[in-house]
Amino acid sequence: MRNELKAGSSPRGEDDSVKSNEERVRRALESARQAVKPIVKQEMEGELVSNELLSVRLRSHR
Amino acid sequence: MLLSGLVYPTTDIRIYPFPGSLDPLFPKPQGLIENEWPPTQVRYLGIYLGQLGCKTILIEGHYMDRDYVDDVALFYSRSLRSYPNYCQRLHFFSEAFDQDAWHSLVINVASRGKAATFLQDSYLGFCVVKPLPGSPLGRTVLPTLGPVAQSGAQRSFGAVRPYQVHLAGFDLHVTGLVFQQQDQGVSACATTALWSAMHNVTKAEGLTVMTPAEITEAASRYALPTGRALPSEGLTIQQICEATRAAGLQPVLIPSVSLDHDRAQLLAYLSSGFAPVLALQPLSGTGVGHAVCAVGLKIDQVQPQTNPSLHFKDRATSVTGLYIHDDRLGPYAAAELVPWTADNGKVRTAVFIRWPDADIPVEQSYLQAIIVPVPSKLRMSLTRIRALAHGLVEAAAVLFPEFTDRIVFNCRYQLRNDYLPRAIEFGLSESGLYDLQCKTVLSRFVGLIEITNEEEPLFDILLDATETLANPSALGIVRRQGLPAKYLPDLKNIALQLAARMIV
Repeated sequence: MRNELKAGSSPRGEDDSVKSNEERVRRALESARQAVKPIVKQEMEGELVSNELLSVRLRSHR
Repeated sequence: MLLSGLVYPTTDIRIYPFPGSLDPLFPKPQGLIENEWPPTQVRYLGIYLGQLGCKTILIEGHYMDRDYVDDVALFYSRSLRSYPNYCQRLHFFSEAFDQDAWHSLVINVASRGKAATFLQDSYLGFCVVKPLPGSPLGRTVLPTLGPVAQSGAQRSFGAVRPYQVHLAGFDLHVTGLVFQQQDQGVSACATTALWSAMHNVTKAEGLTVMTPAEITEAASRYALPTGRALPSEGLTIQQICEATRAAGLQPVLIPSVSLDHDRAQLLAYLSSGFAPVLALQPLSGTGVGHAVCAVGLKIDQVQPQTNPSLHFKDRATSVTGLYIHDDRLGPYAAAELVPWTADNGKVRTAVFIRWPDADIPVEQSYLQAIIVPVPSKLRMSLTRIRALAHGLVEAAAVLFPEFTDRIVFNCRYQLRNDYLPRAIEFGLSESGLYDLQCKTVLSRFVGLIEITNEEEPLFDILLDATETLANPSALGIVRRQGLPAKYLPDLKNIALQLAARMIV
């Protein structure tokens, strides 16, 4: 009986374990995303193009 | 006696031993020459050929060059002086042979195959010589230097391609990227840099390769901020973008932000086969800007992470320099990338360009911007790919503690048709390999995030490069040999979070 109960509770236990692993990975991804935010922000801001840059003339002769 | 206009030029092929320099082949033209003679580019080319081990020069007396013919049609045909519409072409070989030997190679039908092999094995490329007094060097394709620099650093040339050469009935090949000297009539530095930059990608995309004359015309069609189109007074960055679009490509314009950011962009685009145009400004901050075309990378060790709260390394930190086509100097000129503090205290990226045989830089400039001509369907910017990659690699460094502080990421683009054959060597299971090859939809170009430890690959993330945002566009995560089985459940959960197919 005890064994049956144990066997019967296993799928739910596995489900919980799967969910908790998913949650752990989700939290790790979110935490990493926050940690790298300053680098990402700096790189994204670098993509902004000014009119001044567009007007730079390249004409060096030699 | 009136001119009949029906006379064809004569031609012949002449063979000369390489004298260690090209100077004797370029006698000073008549009249006053504004710059030094022989031109810097001729002297540079001589030194470079010496480094390649050139022993013989073959001169074709008559050669019709598509790029030069276009220059003549657009500009030189309207000059008072009668410029010929044809050029000469120099071919370079690493084996010594003379005129008699060449004669035998051509006429000896029985050993034609051996002759072709002999010529191909020693072929070092060609240089078209234009009949323009101040700027004789036309379309030039030479091979790159070997994969290891004297310092031990790796050389990587991602933006080169094979060129077919027809010579006296022989089919020869050379792999490189086309270079030429600016003529200041039809093209200035920006035109020639863009012409080189587009040569590889237009061919790969099945587009017509634009000539310098076509580039100048396209650049000036809708935007001519100052001056005249011809003689060329250079191009603005906006005009470079305009000409790129006219070629059927899209310009990715990246302002220089910091050395780390610039290195990442250069590594990614060059290793993906796209040659960027670099907009340079003299270190003094004044004076005219200059454009060069980046062709290759100088790569050393990946640097440790400088932010103590992060646990990964960035492959881009291994880039220490570039190989560039500088039309004031020559092809594959070595250039160092260094941080340089500007007058305003801001740390910028400086580019120090060197002669092939000298330690002292010939030119020191700031990098202002990077302009990369790319196929239209390549929509996802590298910055967005890196944004996703930063988060993923940091998470992996935490989830896979064996690799904390040793995990490295790299971002680039790769053609699906180049990635899939490569995947055969990944050690995937039979079902994984079948999944990847037959059941996974991939865009023609995939955005590729490669996660490795310091020795071997751990996993790849494949992104749909036709999308704009990286985060919801992960198509698959591919396990590589270096990832221990114990970490597979967590990798599968990463794939789940990204809604990507897991391929094991």
